[in-house]
Amino acid sequence: MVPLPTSLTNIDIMKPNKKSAKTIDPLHFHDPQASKRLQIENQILLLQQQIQKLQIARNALLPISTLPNEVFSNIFSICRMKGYLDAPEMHNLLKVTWVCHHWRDIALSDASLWTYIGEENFSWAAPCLSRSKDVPLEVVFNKPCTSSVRALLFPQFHRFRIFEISFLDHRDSGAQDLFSDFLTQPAPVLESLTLHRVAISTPLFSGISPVLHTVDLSYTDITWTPTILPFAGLKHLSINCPQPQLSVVTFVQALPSSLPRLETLEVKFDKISSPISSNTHLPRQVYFPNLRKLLLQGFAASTISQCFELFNLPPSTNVDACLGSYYGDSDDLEETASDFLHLLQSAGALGHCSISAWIVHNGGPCNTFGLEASRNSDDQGLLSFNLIHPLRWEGIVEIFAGLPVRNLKSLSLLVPYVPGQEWTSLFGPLVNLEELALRDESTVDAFIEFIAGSTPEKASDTTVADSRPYQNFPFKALRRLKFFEHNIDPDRYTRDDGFCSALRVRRDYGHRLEKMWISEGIFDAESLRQVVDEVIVVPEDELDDY
Amino acid sequence: MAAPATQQIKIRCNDEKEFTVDRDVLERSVLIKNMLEDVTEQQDAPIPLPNVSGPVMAKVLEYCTHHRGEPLPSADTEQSQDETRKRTTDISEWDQKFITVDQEMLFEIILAANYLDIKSLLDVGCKTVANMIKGKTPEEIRKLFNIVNDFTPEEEAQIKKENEWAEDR
Repeated sequence: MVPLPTSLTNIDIMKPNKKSAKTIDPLHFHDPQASKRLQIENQILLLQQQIQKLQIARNALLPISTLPNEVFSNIFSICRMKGYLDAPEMHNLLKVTWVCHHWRDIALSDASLWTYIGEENFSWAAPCLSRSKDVPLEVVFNKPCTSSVRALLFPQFHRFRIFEISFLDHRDSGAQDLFSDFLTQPAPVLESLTLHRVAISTPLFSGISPVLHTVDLSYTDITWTPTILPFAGLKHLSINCPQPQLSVVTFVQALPSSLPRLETLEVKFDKISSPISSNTHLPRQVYFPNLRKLLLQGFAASTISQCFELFNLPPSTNVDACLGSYYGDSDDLEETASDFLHLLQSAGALGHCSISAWIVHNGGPCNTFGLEASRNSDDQGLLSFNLIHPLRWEGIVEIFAGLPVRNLKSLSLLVPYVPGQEWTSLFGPLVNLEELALRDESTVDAFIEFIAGSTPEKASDTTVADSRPYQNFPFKALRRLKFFEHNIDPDRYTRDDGFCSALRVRRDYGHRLEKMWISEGIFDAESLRQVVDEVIVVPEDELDDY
Repeated sequence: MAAPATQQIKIRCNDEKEFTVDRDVLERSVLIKNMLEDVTEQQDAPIPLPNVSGPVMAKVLEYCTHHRGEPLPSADTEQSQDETRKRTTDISEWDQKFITVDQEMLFEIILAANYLDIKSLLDVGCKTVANMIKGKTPEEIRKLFNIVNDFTPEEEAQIKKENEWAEDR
C-alpha cells in the first residue's frame, strides 16, 4: 500500500465525513493484476476522503465560517424570502444546501426553514415535510396540486400553522373543494386561515382551533350564522363578498358576543350595497370592547351612518369606511352632499375616522372618483378633505357649513369651480389649512384670481404692523400648494396675473410657501422660485402619482 | 430611578481600546443595557467587552449613534413572528452605506451585533449577506466567499437529484 504523505495523515480533522466510502479487500481476488488495481483504487478512495476532510477543514477556517449556526440560519431564512408577504422562494434555500458541508448541515438541521409548502415545492413536498420534523407548517394552495401531494399533507394537518386556499385562476376553483375535508379536521396549532372561493358547510375544524387568531374569507360560499366561527380567541376577521348581503351585516352585528377579542374587522362588498332603509335590520347597539381597526367597504353612505350610530367602539379605533368598489360604475355612487354630511357627522362620535368614496371602473383605467375625508372626534372636526367626484362645489359648501373645519390641515379639490361662489366664506374658517391641491382649470383660475385680488398691496416702507387688511386674508397657515391640470394652454398660464406678487406679500408677512407642485406649463417656474422655497414641475404623465 | 440621558459610560475592548459613550447610545445593546441595569452604584471602571475589538466597536458605535432614540424591537412573541414573516430584504440607504465594508469586517460586525445583542444591526448584517447570496449559483457563492466544494462524488449525485426538484416546477 502506498503510504500517505505525512502532511495528509497528521490532519486535525474538524468535521469528519459522515459517509465513509467502503473499500474492498484486495486479497478477495486471486488475479494479482486485479488485486493490485483494487489496491490502487482503495488508495485513491482514501486519498479522496482525506482531500475532502482537508477541504472541510479549510472551509472551517474562512472568515464566514466564524458566524454561529443560528446567524447562518437567520441568513438562510432571509435568503428564501421573496419580498413583502410574497411566498418564500424555496429554491434559494435548496441552493445554499449545495454550497458546502457546513452550510448543508446547518440548513438541514434547522427544521423551521423547511416549513413552507406551496406551488413552488409541491414536487418536493415530501423532503420538506421530513426536514421540517414536527415544526408547524405554512401551507398555501394557490394552484391545483396532485392527489399524491394532497395525500401527503392531509395526515399532517395537525401541524398546519398557516393555511391558505386561494386559487388565483378562477378556472381552477372547482379543484379547491378537494381540500374542503381539511376544514373539518381539528386544527390544534392553526393561527391563520385564508379561504378564497371555498364552500364551507360545517363549523370549521369541528370547532377545535384554540390558537386561531386570523381568518380571511373571500367569495366564500357560507351560511352566515353566528356559529360558523366558534373561536373566541379570534383577533382579525376579514370578509369579502361579491354582492351585498344583509345576512353578513347581521352576522357582523352578532360578532361581539361570539368573538369578544376581535381587534380588526374588515367587511368588504365588491358592489355597493343598497341602503338598508329601516333600523329594524340593525336593532341594537353593538359593543366591540377591543376593536382597533374597522374597515367597511362597498356600503351605501346611509348604511355606514347607521353602523356608526349603532357601533359602540373604543375611542382609539381606527375606522376606515369606503363607499367605493372595484367593479362598479360611477353611477353607483348616488350619495348627495347631505348623505356625506350625515356620514361625517355620525363619524364624529367615533375615534379617528377616514371615509372615502370611489369607483374603479371595470375594465377601464384605474381612475378613482370620489371623496376622501378624515376626522377625529367632535372637538377636532374634519382633518383632511379630498373631493374628486361626485359632489359639486355646492356640496363642499354644505359639508363645510355642517362640520367643524377649524383643524382642517389638508384640502384637495378636483372639481370644476362654479362661478359666483364666495371664496372667503368657504375658506375663511380654514385658518389651519397647510396643504391645498387644486386640479381643474376653472378652479385653479378662480383661486389665482382670488389670491391676486384679495391680497393687499404691501406698503412700500414694508411696515408690516400697519397693513391691517392682510389680517382678513385666508390661508395664512398654507405651506404647500399643488396646481395640477392636464392640457395646459401655455398662452393662458405662463403669466403672473399678480399671483407671484401676492405670494411675495405673504412671504414678507412671515407666511412662507415652502413647496409648490405645478403641472408643466402652469406659470413660469423660475418666477415662482423667487417667492416659493421649492418648486416641483410635474410632467403630465406623472400627475396621477401626486 | 432612570439615569440621566447624558450619563457617560466607559467600555474596554479586547485590544485594550477604550471608548466613553453616552448611555443611551450604548443601550442599543441589550447586553450592555442589562449590565447597566444590574449595577446599582455608579462605577468608574470600564465595562470589559472581551469579544469585540476596537475597530469593530468603533463601527458598532457609529451605527448605535445614528440610530439612537429609535424604539428597540419588541420582545412580544406574536409580533416577532409576524415581523419575521413580513420583513423584507430591504436595507435603508444609510445602513447600506454603513455596511459597505470588506467581508472580514462585515462578519466581525455581525459577530459583535450578535454578542452585544443589537437586533437591528444583526438584521442589517444578515440581510447584507443574504443579498450577496440571493440569485447566485452554488459555484458563484463558493467563489464569493472563497469556499471550496467539499462534497464527494456520491454527495454531488444526491445534489444533482435535488437540483431536479427545483427545476421540476
